Amino acid sequence: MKDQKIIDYFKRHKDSQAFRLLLDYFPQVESYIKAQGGSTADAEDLFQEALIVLYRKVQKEDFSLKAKLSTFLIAVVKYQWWDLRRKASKEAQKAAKWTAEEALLAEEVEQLMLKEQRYMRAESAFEKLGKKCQRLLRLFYLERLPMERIAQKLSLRSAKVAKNQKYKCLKQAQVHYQKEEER
Amino acid sequence: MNLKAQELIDGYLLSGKMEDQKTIEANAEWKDQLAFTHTLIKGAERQALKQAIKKAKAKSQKGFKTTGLILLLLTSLALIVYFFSIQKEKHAVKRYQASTFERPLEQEQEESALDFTISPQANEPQLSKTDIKAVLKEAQNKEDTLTALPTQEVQLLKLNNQKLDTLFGKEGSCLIFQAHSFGKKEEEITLKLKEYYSQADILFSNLSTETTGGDYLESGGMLLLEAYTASGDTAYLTKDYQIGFPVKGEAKAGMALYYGQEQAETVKWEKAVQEEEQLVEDEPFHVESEIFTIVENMPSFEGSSNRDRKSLRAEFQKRIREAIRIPYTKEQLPNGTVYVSFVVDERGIIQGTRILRSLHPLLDQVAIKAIYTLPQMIPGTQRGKPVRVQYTVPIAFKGAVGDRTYSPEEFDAEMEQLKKQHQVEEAAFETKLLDQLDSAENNKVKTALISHSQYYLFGSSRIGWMNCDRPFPGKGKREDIRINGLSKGSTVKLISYRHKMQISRNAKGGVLIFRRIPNREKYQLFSIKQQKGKLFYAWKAFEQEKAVSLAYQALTSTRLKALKQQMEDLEKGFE
Repeated sequence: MKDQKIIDYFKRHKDSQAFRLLLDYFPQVESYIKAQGGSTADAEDLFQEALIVLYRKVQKEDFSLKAKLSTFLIAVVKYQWWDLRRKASKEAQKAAKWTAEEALLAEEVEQLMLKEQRYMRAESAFEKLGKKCQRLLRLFYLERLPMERIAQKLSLRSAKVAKNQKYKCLKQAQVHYQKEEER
Repeated sequence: MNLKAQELIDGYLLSGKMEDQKTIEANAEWKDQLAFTHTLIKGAERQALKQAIKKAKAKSQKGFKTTGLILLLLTSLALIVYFFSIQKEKHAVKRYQASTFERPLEQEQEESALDFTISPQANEPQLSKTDIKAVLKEAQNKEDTLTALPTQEVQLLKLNNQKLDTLFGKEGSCLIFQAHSFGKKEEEITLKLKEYYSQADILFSNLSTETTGGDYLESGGMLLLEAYTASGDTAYLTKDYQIGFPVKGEAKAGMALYYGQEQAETVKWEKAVQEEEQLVEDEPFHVESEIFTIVENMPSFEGSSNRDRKSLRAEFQKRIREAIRIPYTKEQLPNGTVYVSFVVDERGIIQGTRILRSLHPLLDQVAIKAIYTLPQMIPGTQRGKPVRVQYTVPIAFKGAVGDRTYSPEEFDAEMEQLKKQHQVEEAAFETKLLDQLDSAENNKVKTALISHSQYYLFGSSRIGWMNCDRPFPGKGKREDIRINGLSKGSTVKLISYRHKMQISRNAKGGVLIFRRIPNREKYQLFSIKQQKGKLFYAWKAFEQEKAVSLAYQALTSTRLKALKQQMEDLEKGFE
């Protein structure tokens, strides 16, 4: 029932409220990561990623809940931890111990995480942009405001100027992104 | 890459203009740009999400310290909000305000006296001429006004609990139960089934297509299922079963199973969530030799990455189309569809190939041969274990002609060869599992219809009210619709025929408000009220920006029949 409530919050775009309920699962994640030799800070980072990935999953059109949300979160954390360790030491790591329920999610989690890693690189490329560029792109793509309103908000001369500016910002972001990809 | 192209990409990304997709993807550079723009948006979104998480953390930490204070604040806030919402209701925008119809009682009675005179009012959906004649003729046989609506027919179905059993409702609902679905002891289970597929059935049963959270749904059919043991006690489900809602008209994407809860006088729906505790753990889910139709991971072919039903269907269609070769024949071959069923076993080997619905002896053989040539597959899995999965493929033939370069002898020889290869498998299959398919065998033709293109199929872990739905895809801005001048206790339904949606409201006072209704859809209003124990109804198309007045007429059984017919005709126009 709690899961359904969380999903409903997400669907109604009350993300903060959904995240607030999900925070209850943090102790579970923290104890797992600590048992594996990680720190609370590690757990916090991985948990944040898990919340973001969960958000992505719920937003998908064909979303259906096959497992409890807590199971899904733990599966994402386990995958990330395993992935980090694998990358840190070149020797083959032992596969993380998955319960049967988590194992069913493994494939999906991997797919989602691979995508999310691309988005992380896009995020750092985005953050390298100037504040004004960031704001312009946010207003256009996330808040979906019309160009006229954006021009007003950013005190640009016209919608056309805003449009040209947006294009330049995008090009710049692309250069940063390609550098990120090459690293 | 230029500004114009970016505009095209933005238009596609932000407003989902599907027609642009092809244009963009035809150009490699544009396609890359589309991928990048999409990724960048997702990256920027991460910032916003992190903010939301931070906010949530801050709030919950503060929450611990000041719970008491917040509680106090919340209560007072709730009171204020409540107060204002009442005020708001009173002063709600009177945009859709319907003209009041303060009809004195005498007038109502006059109406009931007029019984069957069909007033050529423009506001009533028009009857076709033949209908009018029929109704008028029947009307001459004077009849009493109904005092209650008829209840939906109850169907009693017998389930053999010792075997895999497939049952069908009259409207085509399909229920597939594994052996011992209601525990090991029970031999026979009686299922009580009520089906609601047409608008009229839903309407006169006072059902609504609304979630518990107040979201509107488009229904692909609803049903009520109850189970009883031989001694008449309630039977308890111990295993998941499969439920199929026949696709009427065109198949719609995104249909999901919803469970219903009875609330007040209607049923509200909630999307089915696979709850772990509902799967009985002490009994292994996978029983040797059990055949599944739906599993978590469907079988797949080597090299295909998707394991869902949709991509499997596409893959089958593609491979079968490639494998089909018709030997030379002078005969004229018919158009139509052959249904072939087979089982993909735990090793991924296809066996038990059989024709469920035959079209023509030669084409049947051609279809079987095409299945025989399919390679070994990756087996389907349920809870991580490989299982047998039954699958039915429709193979359509249209304007098929024999290949001049492919002689019947050659075909027979090849078929013989393939049969030999499959012989061992098929023989083992026949003896071991034939009884498993018995029930399917009895329903030969019906079973043929359980193909995934003709059913919305779901796994279900519950019985009771069930509904196959998706969120109401109505277009336009969401606005409130207000109807005035109703008499207390009347029921008003807002109906969309294009997408099967019905929202039901009971008038507590003279005013009803339907909240957040997409304004670019066509709706109809249907109302029923009771006066001195008799039923009256009103039905009219809803026009935005115009005053709505509902003219009530007496509801008699003849009238009800005519109404149902009218609704059915109207509905057909939308399928």
